[in-house]
Amino acid sequence: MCWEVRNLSIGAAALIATATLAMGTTAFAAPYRPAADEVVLERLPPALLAARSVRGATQTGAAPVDLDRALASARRYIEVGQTYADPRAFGYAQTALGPWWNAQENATPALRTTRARILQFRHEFAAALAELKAALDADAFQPDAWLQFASIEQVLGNIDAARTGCLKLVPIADPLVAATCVAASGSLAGRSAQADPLLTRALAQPTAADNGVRAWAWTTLAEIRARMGNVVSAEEAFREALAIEPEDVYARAAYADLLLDAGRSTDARRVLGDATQADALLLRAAIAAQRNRDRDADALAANLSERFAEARARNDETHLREQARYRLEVAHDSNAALALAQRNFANQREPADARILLEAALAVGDAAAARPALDWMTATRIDSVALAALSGKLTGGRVR
Amino acid sequence: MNTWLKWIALLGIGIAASTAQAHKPSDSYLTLNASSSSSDIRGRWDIALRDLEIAVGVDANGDGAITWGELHLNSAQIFDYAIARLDLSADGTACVVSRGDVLTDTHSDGGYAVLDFTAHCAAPPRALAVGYHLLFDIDPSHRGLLNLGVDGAARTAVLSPQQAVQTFDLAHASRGRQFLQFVADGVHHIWVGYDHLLFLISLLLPAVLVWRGGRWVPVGTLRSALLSVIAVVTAFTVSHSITLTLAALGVVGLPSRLVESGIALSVLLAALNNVWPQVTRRAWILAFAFGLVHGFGFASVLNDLGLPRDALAVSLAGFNVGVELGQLGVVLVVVPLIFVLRARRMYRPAILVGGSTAIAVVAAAWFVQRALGFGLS
Repeated sequence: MCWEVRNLSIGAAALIATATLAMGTTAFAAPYRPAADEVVLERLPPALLAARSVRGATQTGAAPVDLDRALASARRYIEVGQTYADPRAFGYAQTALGPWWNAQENATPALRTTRARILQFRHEFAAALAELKAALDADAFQPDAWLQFASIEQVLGNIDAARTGCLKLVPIADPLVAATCVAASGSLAGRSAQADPLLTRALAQPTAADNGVRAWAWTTLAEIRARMGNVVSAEEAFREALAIEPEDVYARAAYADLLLDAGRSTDARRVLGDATQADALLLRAAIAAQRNRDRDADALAANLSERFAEARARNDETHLREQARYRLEVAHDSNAALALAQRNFANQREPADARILLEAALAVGDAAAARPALDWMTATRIDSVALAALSGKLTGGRVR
Repeated sequence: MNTWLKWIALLGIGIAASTAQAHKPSDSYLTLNASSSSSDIRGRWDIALRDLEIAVGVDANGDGAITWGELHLNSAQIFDYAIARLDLSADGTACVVSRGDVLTDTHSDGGYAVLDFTAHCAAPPRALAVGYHLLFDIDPSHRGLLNLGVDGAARTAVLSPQQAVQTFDLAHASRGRQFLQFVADGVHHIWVGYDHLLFLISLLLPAVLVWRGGRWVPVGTLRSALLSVIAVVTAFTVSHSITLTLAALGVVGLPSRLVESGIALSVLLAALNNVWPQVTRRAWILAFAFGLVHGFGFASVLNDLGLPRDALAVSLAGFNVGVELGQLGVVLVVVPLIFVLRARRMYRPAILVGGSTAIAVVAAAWFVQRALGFGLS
């Protein structure tokens, strides 16, 4: 008996030792007075420098005098916000619109489309769609409004509506923009086999479209191929996208997902680099680091957890998908992940939203919880090797 | 032609970026500490330097970096700007703000100016109205995150353009209420946390037996059964309290995957020990060793509940008391039952071995799921 007890004591000692080793440097923040005037407290990020120069150029702050100038400054702020995914710039854009932010009567289509862009960034999808519908009712010859309309419907999982919006683009927009939109929505409706060559051909044509559009087209193509399970050709397309826009947050995150799925977490970390400012990138870095057993794995997970805590403190619900994935893949708390994934799927229905719901339901062993995602897959006829595999596991291989 | 193409191009990225939100939005952190015995409210207000740069202009030399010298130089102007946008009033009478130091601090997204101040009210506030108007005129997505402490009990609120003025009833906020809330959370966690319950039950099942001559025989008296129950429960309590406290205070931290798999492993081993007895006496040592892991698990729940930093001791003590009460409830139900059943012929094969085997199977599934990340459906 003594032998067993001694073994246990050793076990307890080992536990205590592990706990001691894990002693963190959890510093409670305390305000301080720096030692010298030269101490730098903040290096203003590029997004803020850009917003500051827009502010200087447009004299924001004074009451805007006419709508055209207000729209011009708002669009400049939106451009900054878009490039750096910076919520502050979208706030400045709203302010730049001044009294026109709330104007309902005589709101021009251009004003509505601009307001829709700000609402969309804040995930206020219903309000954004209402603005776009009113704008398009007044004037259907608006490629930008149709593109926004299609992109929101796609996020909401309304693939037929997205497809309708994309088809409206064909006669009035740049051919590459229209082709990308049509291919994206088509591939979500079971037409990946046609979408891939369509977009590949469009990308081979000479185009007037700028870098942003070309990078978006390559990223869309890469995602279509990734969903089809064509890892090699998907990777080629991601590389094309990142060669054009190396900093593109969305493309890097999606490329990292492809590599993580292929079990190449070291390569995923290389693609993500040090740029973990964006939550989307930080999440993938934390997953890859944990799989690699990298030394910074715990630090990345802690940073991510802190960001989600801050988002919760301000009642921000726009990160539910990322939070669910963090809970499932980093914190390994499948019950919490499932609850988040269910709430997320009620708001937005992209392939990634369906996937996290299926994965969380599978981890918990609750096939009924996955029903909304399974129904959505049936309704859209989406092509996705990963989703089909998950659905097979959940339904025990039965034909749905 | 060119302009709308540019606009489209912008939107092209927009589709891609729409669901990859990134940076933290603009928040300020406003902490107010009131007391039922004082008419003064102590305040601390953390405002992002990048927000102050847009609102007031801090980067005097325009080099894109804000130094302590630049912040210090502008501190009076910053104070004027901020304090003019905060209205505090106690029971309908405005409080007068006197300024303290301007310091600096770092949050997860960068440098902040920290404004210390004291609000002098006419009397100790019973209803405190907070009117918050900072930055809404520049960035309507800005939020003020208020942490209001009253005699050490904390509550939080989000101040937005739609809810810029909020009134708080301080007369009914107290440490006592907060303590009770955490007691309830602790009890709840034990009762819905199957892993803790099953661990405890695995340790209790053999407590009504004694290992003699290579086999289990029923204990003679309730007293000797109770002694071993008390030893087990006390050891578990002491050890999980140690790690719960250390983890909640941020002294020690373990990755949650390690903790969660450790808890599953502890249930598995405790249950297996009833099927193939290894530790047959002094089961309290088992309870103590594994209790350390369970304490980390409790701490992560406590963190998820959102620990008020200035009322850490109250919430920690409340949660721990709740856990012990919940545990006591389980003991009071389980121990009399198994004491009565202990001498029945079916107790060992059906309850001790059968029950423990079932527990072991569940725990093994948890362990595989948590340690290896496999989903079992």
